[in-house]
Amino acid sequence: MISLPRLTLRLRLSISIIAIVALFTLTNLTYQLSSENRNLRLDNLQNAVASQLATVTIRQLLENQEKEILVLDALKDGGKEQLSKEEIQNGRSDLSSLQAEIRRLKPYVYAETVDSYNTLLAGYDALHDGWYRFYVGYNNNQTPSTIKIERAFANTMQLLSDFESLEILAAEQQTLDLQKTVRFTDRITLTIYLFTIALTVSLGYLLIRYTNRSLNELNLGTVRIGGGDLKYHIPVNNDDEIGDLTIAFNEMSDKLSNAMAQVQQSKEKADQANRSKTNFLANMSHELRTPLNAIIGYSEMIIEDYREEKALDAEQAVEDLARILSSGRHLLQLINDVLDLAKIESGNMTVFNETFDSVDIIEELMSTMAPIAKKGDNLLVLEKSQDIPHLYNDAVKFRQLFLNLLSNACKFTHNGKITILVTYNAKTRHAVYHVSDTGIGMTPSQLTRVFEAFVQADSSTSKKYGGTGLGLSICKQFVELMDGSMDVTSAEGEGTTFTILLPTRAPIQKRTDAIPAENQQELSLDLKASSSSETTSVSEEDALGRVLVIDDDPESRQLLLRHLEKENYIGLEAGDAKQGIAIANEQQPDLILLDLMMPNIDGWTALSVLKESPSTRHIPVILQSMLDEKNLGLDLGAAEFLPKPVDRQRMATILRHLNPQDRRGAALLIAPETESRKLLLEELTDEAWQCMVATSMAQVIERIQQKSPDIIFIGLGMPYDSVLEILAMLNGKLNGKLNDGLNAKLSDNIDASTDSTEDALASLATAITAPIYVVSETPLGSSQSRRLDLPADQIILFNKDDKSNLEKILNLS
Amino acid sequence: MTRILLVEDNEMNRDMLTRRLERKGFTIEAAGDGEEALKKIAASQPDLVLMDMNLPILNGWATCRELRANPATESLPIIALTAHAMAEDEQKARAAGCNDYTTKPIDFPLLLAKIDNLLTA
Repeated sequence: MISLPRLTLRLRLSISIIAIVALFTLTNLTYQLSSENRNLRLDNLQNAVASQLATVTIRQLLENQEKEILVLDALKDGGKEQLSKEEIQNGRSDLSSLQAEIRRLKPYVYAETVDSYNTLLAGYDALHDGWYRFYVGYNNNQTPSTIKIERAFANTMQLLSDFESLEILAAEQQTLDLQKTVRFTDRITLTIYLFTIALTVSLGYLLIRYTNRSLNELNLGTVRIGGGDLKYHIPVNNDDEIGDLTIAFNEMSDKLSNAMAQVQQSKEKADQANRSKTNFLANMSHELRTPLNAIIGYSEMIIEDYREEKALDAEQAVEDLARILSSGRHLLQLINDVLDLAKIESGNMTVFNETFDSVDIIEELMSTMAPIAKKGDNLLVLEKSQDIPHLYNDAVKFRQLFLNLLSNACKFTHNGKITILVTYNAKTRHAVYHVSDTGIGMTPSQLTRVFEAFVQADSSTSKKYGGTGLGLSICKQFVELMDGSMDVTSAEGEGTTFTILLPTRAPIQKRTDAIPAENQQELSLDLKASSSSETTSVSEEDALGRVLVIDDDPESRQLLLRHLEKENYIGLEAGDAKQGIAIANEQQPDLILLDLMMPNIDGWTALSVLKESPSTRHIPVILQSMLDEKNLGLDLGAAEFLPKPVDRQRMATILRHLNPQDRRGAALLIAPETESRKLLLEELTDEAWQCMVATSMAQVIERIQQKSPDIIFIGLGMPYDSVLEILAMLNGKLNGKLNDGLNAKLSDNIDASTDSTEDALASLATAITAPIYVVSETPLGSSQSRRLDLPADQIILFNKDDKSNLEKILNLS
Repeated sequence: MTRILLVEDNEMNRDMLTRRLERKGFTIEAAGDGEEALKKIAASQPDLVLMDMNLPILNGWATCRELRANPATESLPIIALTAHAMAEDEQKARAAGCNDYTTKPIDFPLLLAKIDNLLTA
């Protein structure tokens, strides 16, 4: 098969033009031919006329010659004298010129008249011979007989006439032929001409119609698509430029349609989120009002009782107060749950990973739950396969999750059995936990909504069994945060089984927690043993560090100190902020644990004093509060946030991360808040670096004044010019370019000995000995790299796919 | 003696309201769900009904509609008591046939005023 070339518009136009030009040339050629024929005819006519004239002349000459011969003959008969030599000579030359005249006819001879001409020549030759001999023999009286000559003359005249008429005939015939040819070529010319016109017109028409139709379809399509019918596809009829345009247009409309669909989808999602938020609020309001109703109602009643000084029924009052209390507790539970949910939803719920034995925690929980299970006459059973690997996950959430599931199981089961089955799926490396009960179970429709907020199987359930209807929703979200999955199966009246899968991925090996899990266990046992004797205290040499606890509540202070001792830290204590600041200044602890809620000077003020004073601002402060103040705290310079009540393990991990004796050094990260920065921060924290973050020149100065960094990273989304400017500042090359705000900041913080900001800047720059690395997500251009004025190995690439460069640097330093 | 039927499934709230209203001199009868309420009203019609809306078995809205459909109880004064406090919740309660509406936690003097208002009307 020969594949035909694509019939593009250009090809169509080219073919049309070539066809028209070819036809035009043909017309010209036929015209040329016919005009040549016309010329030929004209020549022919001229020929015929010339031939006529020549024959007339010849006839005249012949007749004259004949007359002269006749006269001479008559003279001879009369006895006239002889002819002179000149006269004979003249006669002979006349004869010669006559002969020449006849021969001049030759060019006019036609094919048809050649024979006649030859006969004429032969006839005249005979006559010529006669006449010649007449002249030669005249003086000798030996002339041929005139009769003979007469006859030859008559014959020649006849031949000449014949020739003449034949010539005319031939000329006429020729003219006729030529005329025919001319007419024929004329007709051809005309035909081709007309054909050319017709072809041009039809080709033009076809082209116009074709492009018009295609363009119309396109136009129609754009109007429909423009009108919002994004699903419309313009039919692709032609494999040419317009076809290409149509395809491109269809693709464009597809993309547009997809984009619109996405927008629509996200709008729907947003609407959905909005609706569920409104719903949540309405539910929330409802759930809060119900216990409040009891609290307010009973309180009012008790107040009334006292006011009216009726006989007070103490028993009744205690009962009512107990109701107020239980409603209050319910309310608190509700608020805590809602806060948890809100935290999860806003993405503020952080996962605090550590290595732990999940079976240990479950066993611990089972002993906690045992009395409650017993109350409902339930049997609590743990079954497990031999080896369940330790989890590297959030132990606190794990505990809360299983406590919730177990108390749910106890709540909805009476006189039954609650089983926890733990297995390990080596293939997917997941620990699998089944929490089953033989309780009331759920119907299929209840089952589908069980993880939704504020949904309990039945609205009366909460009245009968208590609970906020938020627990399972929180559990589910926890599991998702923990990178696991949670599922439920249930049959009404037969019981419910929750299945939880959690990954058992190995923790990334870190310098700081090189202690294997088993050893850790031993260690904690040891510590438990040692801490039981009150006299034991941590010796200065063995201690991991010194931690100052600032808390007004002696009980929580003592608790923290005990925790610290167990974790091998030396504890220092202060009962108020003033004392705390003084101890921090004098004793220079490695870390400070600061309670936010204190009388007189509160934690926030203490934090700002500690962070402003040059002698204490390098000490990491861990804030403590019942409320989650983490973000505000970190913004104000705290290093970490530890919620109250304190979880010992969490505290230990935080201390380990922040303890300068364990740390590799301080890293300053100058970059706007991006995913990459988060990634880099995580890497650095994992490698036990203490991280400071700055996003502007002002913050860079502030951070450096707080603590001189050991390593500096800059870039990751920072505008190139800002990078150059900050680099210049860090290298002491920025002269007097700071704005007033920065000047003020500098003069505020720099020792009084330096009085100009330029000096201050210079001293700041000389104080920086840390290596500076420019970090970018994508490779820099060579001119950009040059302008940074840094060695090539200090310009590194870092993104989620390539962390090798960073690891190299961290291993070096 | 004014007789009031209190329809409320929450034991604590039922106990509290019963006692408070009795102190004000009303005779209180209580029902824990819609069906029980309908039965008690059919047996002996009270002067006024205080109705919680989130009730098991037959909810408050359905109970009200049923009362309004019955000629014997079509003008029985009903006050909705609910923890649903959105504007559309009040409309919903009134559409179901409640004469008045009050949200939890209950403002007791206001509730008394509403009861008084409906009884004297």
